[in-house]
Amino acid sequence: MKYSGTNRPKPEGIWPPTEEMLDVPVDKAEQAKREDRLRRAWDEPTGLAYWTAVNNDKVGAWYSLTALFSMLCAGVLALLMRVQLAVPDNQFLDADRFNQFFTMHGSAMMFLFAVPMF
Amino acid sequence: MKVQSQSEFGTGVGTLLKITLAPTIWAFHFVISYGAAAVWCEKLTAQGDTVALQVWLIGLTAAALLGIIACGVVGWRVWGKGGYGADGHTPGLGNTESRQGFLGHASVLLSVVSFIAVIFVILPVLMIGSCT
Amino acid sequence: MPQHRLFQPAILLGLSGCVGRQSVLDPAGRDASTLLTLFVVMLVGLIVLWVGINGMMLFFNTLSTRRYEEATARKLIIGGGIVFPTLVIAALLVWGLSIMPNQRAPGDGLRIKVIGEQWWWRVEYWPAGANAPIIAANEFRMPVGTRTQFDLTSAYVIHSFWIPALGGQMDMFPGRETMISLEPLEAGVYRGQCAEFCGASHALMVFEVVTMEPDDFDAWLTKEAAPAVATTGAQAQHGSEVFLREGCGACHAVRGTQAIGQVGPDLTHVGSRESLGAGILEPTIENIAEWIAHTDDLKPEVEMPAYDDMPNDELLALATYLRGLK
Repeated sequence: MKYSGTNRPKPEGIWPPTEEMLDVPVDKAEQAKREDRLRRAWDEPTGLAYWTAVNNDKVGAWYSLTALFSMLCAGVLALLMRVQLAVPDNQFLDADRFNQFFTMHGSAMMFLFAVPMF
Repeated sequence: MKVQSQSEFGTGVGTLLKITLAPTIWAFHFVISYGAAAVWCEKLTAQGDTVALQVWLIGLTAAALLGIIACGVVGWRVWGKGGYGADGHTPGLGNTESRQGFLGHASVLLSVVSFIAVIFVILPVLMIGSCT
Repeated sequence: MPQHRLFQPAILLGLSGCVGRQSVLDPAGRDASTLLTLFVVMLVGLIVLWVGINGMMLFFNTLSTRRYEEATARKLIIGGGIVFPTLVIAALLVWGLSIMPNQRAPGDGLRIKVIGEQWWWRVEYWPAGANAPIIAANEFRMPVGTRTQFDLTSAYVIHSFWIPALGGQMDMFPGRETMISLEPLEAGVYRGQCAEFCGASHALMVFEVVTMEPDDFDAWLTKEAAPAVATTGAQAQHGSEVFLREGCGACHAVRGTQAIGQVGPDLTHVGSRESLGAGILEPTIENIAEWIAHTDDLKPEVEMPAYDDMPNDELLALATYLRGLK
């Protein structure tokens, strides 16, 4: 039967630990095994499970990279708009397309880059 | 001095009133000024004459500024008359003197900001003497 | 090409915004001059402050290795961080507030009512004491030296009225009337534009502004108030028949004829305007014909249908007629 909820192992022994109990040295091999288990518990997942990581440093890095990618996409829209505005009477983008471009550029830059990043 | 401070700045939640009072006066002054100007121009005056409005708001501003100065003076006294010496800013002691000093300092700074802000709020009403 | 040779054309290109009939930096009106003064003062102040603060930061962080007294630091912070900004900002506030009422002063007599339509400007001139307006479109003429008041509204969406050489912008809202007053100081031709995105042809909703000496203006206004001039020449006569036959009068008014439509711009004196199609074309006969035949190519999503199945000779006759409506 799994231990959970109110079904927990009853504490045994003396509490708080006495000085003699605390002075007992830890077996080196046992210590190595415990450190190993602890490290493995906090390791980054590998393979496809990498994307299930919950370490906030990792998640933060992904967040920033996504925002940066959105910024680059919105930047491409801006560059295309600049092409249209580079010379008078340019026909590179028609009016409707240009309007779509600046709307998406603004929305993407603000909501997908500026607000997440700053 | 210490006895007086301890009676002015106890440790209850009412002590926070001292630092919130100056910005609160500013906030009320702001809302009343703008609200009065809006209602006056929309409903109470036919030709857009603003002299009466300005007179009332100058009175309100004077009252607000006096209140803010009072908050600042009280905070200044508790702060220890602006001591910037070696003990003037020992941080983080969890005792009443430290707390009083911090609250006093904060009161003075907030009073300065609120004073300037109240003046900035009333300037447009005084300088633009019309409703348009 | 040596590097420095590219510098001169680059400078010229950069300076091309400094002069011109649509430049904020080349004011021709009282309000625009005030705004330019404000801009220059703030720009200079900004540069001084920027250099000063960055210089101080560089100096105190890097260049100077002295330790400074607590008292000196306090004076610098309180003086430079509280007193100085408050005084500068208060001074700017007082100055800004002092010039605001002048910009909102009511007009000296002439009122022009402007209604923003989908990508053209409906204009009504109301001279002082007039009972009925003089209706025009897409162009504004004003006397120099007096303040003209513009009452602005809009038919469907939000537009914004802007003549950079004469003053600032004022938005035009449907269902609401806003006001801007402008006082030109030089006679000339300037260009204005719609300054609030209003649909597919927002960029093509511009207009010409002609400022004239008061006597010239009065003479012009009398001419503008009159009905359309009589057509001369066979081409123009044929054109006027085409105009009525094709139903142009259902949308466009030409005072003095049977055309009384209010849907589109008033064409009574269209021949004397500086531009066509709300500022987008030179008003030549070829351009008029081109416009009538291909409205939607020139101005995407415009309401006027394209008469591309009209035979060429009729188009030219129509254009000649319209060009003759001076």
